[in-house]
Amino acid sequence: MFSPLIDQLIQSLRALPGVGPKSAQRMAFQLLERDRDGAERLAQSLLLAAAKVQRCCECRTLTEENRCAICTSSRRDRTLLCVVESPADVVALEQSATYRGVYFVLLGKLSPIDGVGPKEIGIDVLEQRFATAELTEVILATNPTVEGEATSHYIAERAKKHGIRVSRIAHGVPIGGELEYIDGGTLAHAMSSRREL
Amino acid sequence: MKLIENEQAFMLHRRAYTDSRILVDFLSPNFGRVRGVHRAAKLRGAGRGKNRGHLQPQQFTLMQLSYRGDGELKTILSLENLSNPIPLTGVQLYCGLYLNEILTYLLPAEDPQPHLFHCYQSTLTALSNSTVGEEDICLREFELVLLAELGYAIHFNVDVSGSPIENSAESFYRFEQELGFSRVELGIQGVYLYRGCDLCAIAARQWRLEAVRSVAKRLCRQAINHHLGGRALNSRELFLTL
Repeated sequence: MFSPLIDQLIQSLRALPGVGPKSAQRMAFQLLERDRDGAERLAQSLLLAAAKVQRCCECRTLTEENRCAICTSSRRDRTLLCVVESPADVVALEQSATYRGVYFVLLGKLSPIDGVGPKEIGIDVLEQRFATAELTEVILATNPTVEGEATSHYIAERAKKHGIRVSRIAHGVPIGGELEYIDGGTLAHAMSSRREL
Repeated sequence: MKLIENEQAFMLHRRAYTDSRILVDFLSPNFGRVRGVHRAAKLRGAGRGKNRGHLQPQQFTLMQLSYRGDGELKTILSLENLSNPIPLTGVQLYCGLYLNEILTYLLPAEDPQPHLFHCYQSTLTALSNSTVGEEDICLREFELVLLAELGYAIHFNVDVSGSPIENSAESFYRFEQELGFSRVELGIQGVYLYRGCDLCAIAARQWRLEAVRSVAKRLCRQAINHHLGGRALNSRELFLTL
């Protein structure tokens, strides 16, 4: 229906999450009809990012440098290590502005049926870090799912072997939530790990 | 089109499918292993629009499932937790993931499994109450039921020739897939031999002795590996370095 170049653009836009054929078509026409400059900028930044962005050699998050800004920062407490599942989790924690240590990004979680084992999520790299870096505490911030819990247990066992203190982020009632609508599993967790005031 | 309503189920596995849908495998009593597409808040808990804040279904939680469809891939209409998740921690979690993996690979799709379903449920409960280092007992008992339900029950009381297995440390048996145990003299090379007394202990589900448990583990592994047809189980990797 479209000329080959437009067709190719529409197909390529569908690589984005949440973009079906109709949205891809709208995006393509918007860029071609009304915003040629924007299209050029988009193309340039996509090319640059795809060519340059790689994994930080220390924490495995996404960066165009060899080591990311958090790992090179002198204001970060390098004895605190927070383990998360994905680069998006790093961003979320950074936005909460409560954490001053460094990160380690697993890029996944242990999931035997999907063929994801300890090697695939870089446990060997992490263990090396346990052995060589001076750490006072490892904070496990994997998601509160079955796989996330299994992953955090697996890492905790390894960290303890190196004599490092291990903690797990708390699970409970979200701020602004109502007990009435919260699932039983979360409430049970919130009850069992309640704090004395 | 077939419509199934309010069937009890445990989720075995969940994976991303499209942006707003996930693929879910279930174990249910009347329809066995079922796979369906669930339109849910995808990845990362909070979805968009009216799904915002919905949570992903989790393993080890008794759920009520409604679905329709004639093909192998069902459309899930509703999914609701009937109870809190069975609280598994640490090694118990690895065991649960192991159970889910063998069920996913060994169970044929849509074959009714009422007994196995209840056994799965009670195994999970037993796992959550098990003491450290004794989780394997739950796994062995489940594996023996699973093999029996699949039609590959191991007979611990009689050997291939029909004579009873001798409860003695001096009688030796070899295990052959789909046949059973046959009495042999000590000294055969290249095959693992089982002692009669260990087999009788397994038959009676006496797990007190560590030696009996390790024999049972070897036997179950041998049988399950055979039915997996060469496929490796990834969850075993989790136990390796413990």
